[in-house]
Amino acid sequence: MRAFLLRRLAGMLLVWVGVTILTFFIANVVPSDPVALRLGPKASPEIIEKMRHEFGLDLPLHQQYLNFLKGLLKGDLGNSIWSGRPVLRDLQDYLPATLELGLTAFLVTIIVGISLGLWASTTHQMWLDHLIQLFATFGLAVPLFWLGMVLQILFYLRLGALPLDSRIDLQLGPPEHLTGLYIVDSLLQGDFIRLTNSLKHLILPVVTLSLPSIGATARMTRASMLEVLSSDYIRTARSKGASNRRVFWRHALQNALIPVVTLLGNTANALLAGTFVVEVIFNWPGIGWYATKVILASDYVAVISITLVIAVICTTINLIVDIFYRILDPRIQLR
Amino acid sequence: MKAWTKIIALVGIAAMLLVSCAPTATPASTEAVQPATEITQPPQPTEAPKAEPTQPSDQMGKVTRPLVILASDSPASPDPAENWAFGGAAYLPHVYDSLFRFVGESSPKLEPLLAAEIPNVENGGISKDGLVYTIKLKSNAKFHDGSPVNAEAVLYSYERIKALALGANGISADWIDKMEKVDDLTVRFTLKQPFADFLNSLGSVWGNYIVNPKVCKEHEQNNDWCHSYLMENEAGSGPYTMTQFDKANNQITLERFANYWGGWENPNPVEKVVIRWLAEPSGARPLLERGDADIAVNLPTTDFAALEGTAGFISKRYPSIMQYYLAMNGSAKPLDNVKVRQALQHTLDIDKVIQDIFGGNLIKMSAAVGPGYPDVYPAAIQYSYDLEKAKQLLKEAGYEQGLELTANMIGAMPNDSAVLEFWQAELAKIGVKLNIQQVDYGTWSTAWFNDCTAATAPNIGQISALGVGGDYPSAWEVIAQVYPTPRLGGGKCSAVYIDNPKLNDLFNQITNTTNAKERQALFQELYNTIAEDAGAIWLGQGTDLVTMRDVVQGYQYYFSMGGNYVPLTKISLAK
Repeated sequence: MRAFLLRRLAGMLLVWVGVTILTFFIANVVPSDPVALRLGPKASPEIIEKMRHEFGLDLPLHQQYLNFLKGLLKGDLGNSIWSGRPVLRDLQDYLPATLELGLTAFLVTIIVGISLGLWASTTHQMWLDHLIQLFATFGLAVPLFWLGMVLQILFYLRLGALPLDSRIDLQLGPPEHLTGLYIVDSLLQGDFIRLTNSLKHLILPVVTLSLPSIGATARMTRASMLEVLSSDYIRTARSKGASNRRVFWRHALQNALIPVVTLLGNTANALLAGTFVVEVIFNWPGIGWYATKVILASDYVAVISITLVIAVICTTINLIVDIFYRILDPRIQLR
Repeated sequence: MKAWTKIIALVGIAAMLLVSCAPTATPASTEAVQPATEITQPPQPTEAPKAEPTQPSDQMGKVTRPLVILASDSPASPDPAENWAFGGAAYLPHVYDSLFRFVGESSPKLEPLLAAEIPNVENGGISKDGLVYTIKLKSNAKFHDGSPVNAEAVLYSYERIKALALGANGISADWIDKMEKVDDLTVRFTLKQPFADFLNSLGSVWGNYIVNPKVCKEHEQNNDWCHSYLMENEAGSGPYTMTQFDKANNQITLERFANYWGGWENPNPVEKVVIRWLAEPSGARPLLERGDADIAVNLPTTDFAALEGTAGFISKRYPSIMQYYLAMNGSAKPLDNVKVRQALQHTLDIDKVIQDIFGGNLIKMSAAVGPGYPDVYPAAIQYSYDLEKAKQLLKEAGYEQGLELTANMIGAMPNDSAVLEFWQAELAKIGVKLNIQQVDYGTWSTAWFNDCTAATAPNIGQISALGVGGDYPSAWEVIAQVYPTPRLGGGKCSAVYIDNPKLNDLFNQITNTTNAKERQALFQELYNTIAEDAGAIWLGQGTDLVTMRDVVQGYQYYFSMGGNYVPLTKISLAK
């Protein structure tokens, strides 16, 4: 296990370095000058050049990249040309919002998706099964931006039941910053007004973000469960007099979840990608929202950092998924 | 099986109860919300559903919430020495004061704000050679901490703008060669060269605000002229204080400064204001309809039209500071040929574009600058829609067999794709093939903003759908942005790159001439020259669309600042 972890961590490190190299050089291919964009049309060429020098943009590309890596080793991601602040400071502001949205959506996906899949498998070919399949297909087919807007019109404009956007009501303001996750911070401070308010704000973006993943998870769980339920060892268990409940929960479920865990790994990554759309629709000040800003501003220092953060999250999720395999099925050897 | 379905059902019900039975979102503490002007529940539009009381209420059930403004253009920076974006007009003029400002919905007039009077040659404020400006200050102006706004503060602010050189310095500060304090309430600026628009440039909403030197010096880090501090705080003297610049949530919170040196004529001013910039503009209309926002600037045109005439809303259109062009880059073939450019001028039916594509929300231009600006006179040459004439001119230019052109959509003009596709169809009728391409604004403006020569000018592209707004209401300033004119601090690229010494000469003369009559004659000749050069098709002057709930009273539009500026000192919320 230790050897496996070391190997994987080394591999992850290579991936991270690869991601920075690729992003850095691709970003520099675009003939767009972030300094000229920040300073605007009134800045003289001398002033533009002065700021380019301050940001080290006048250095050869390889030197700029090495400087970035040096800073990275010291925990310094450089300064964002768009925001004028250290990128790390920006990430401290934006990343928690994405984590809160993404983790909640992931949790909802697991609970609802797996539950629906299991429910469908137990009502195979009955009307409930068809209904769940229809729902799952709808979730997979519907575009995120359309779904988000429809939900906003329905639940905010027509019913007035839920807020339209942002993380918390303007009048309340955020809870005192501890983790940046409003739910956690409100809970830690015993502030139930902010807790319930931020939960309300989470509902529509979470539903929008998680619906496709719920669909995929439900379908996969159903298919996997049906396959396991028809396997020989289940038939043996039944012939030995095991009850339906025991067969379902003790014998079938664990094996049926192995492919679902694989899917959930991909789902977590897909949720992260989905935040780019959902955060814009719901004015959710997360990393996807930040990324759209810095990309448009050609602020490649921030772009590289965001890409790196996303790469770290994705590779870590993949590692966790592999470890979960082992927990779910001791026959699997981690090499 | 029933057990786990029950568990799921219970968890679901518990979650719903937790959310739906939650207490109404009221402020948890007095620190969280400064009590705002009390207003009753606003009337809802006829067709919009009644809003659930998601707004905080006091014990009497009255709504106590801030005025919420949905601005359009994003803010660049809360530091007045840096901001040069239109979105900055939403908050900077409320927090900071400048020496002068422009007022008026149209034909804006410069008026003194911190200055005691408008200097001129007669009152000794401007030297006869137009190089020295002596500006007297009001004696009662104070910053938010009570420090006086004096000569020292003015000099510090302009030195700061010049030293930081973050873009806004190019508007007025860079013209200043020498600054000196005459006495506590008088400053003297000596310019590098005569600049007739200097006073106007001091009235620009960018790069002219006076900051409190005491606060700044206290918060300086590494000789940064308190730039880091002003990225999240303020040091102004305006009628509102900035209590929060929440970059992460894209919003700014202002609170009324009761001791404003200018006093409060409005008996019922707004106490707290939240200015928001939505990432997705389509969210603005629902927020207005539910009463969660009060004023929205430049809603998507379909949303604006939907609310126009609806009970509970006031919708207004104002001629804006923006004008739109199809700019032709004359630095390379075939657009270096004036006959080709003139031919293209005859190929677009501007009236049709204004009516059919812009829904009438453009004002036709008869000169290179929109009619809402001062110093605008119709050019002697006006191009009409005439395809036969266009064909004739192309023949004279040697392009009888037609030609191929490329137009850039850079996201700087609304409806750019519709305009270019319409033009594409018109051009096809005379054998001109127009390719339309989407170009990233960053790439395009890098070529525009950077210094360039005749050799590098083609990088801007052949034709660009361009939107340009004056940094202040000055025809000179708009022309400087669109046409290849001599600039302070060196040459810059221009979307209309035509080498015409006559245009340069006229532009230079206008820069230096203060005599109104001479300026009029020079402007007239400049407009005629620009029209003859035919470097840009003038589509029209833009319109700002302002939608507000009818609880908002006292709104006025300020041409010089655009729709993002709401005159907060005049605004009240109806009870």
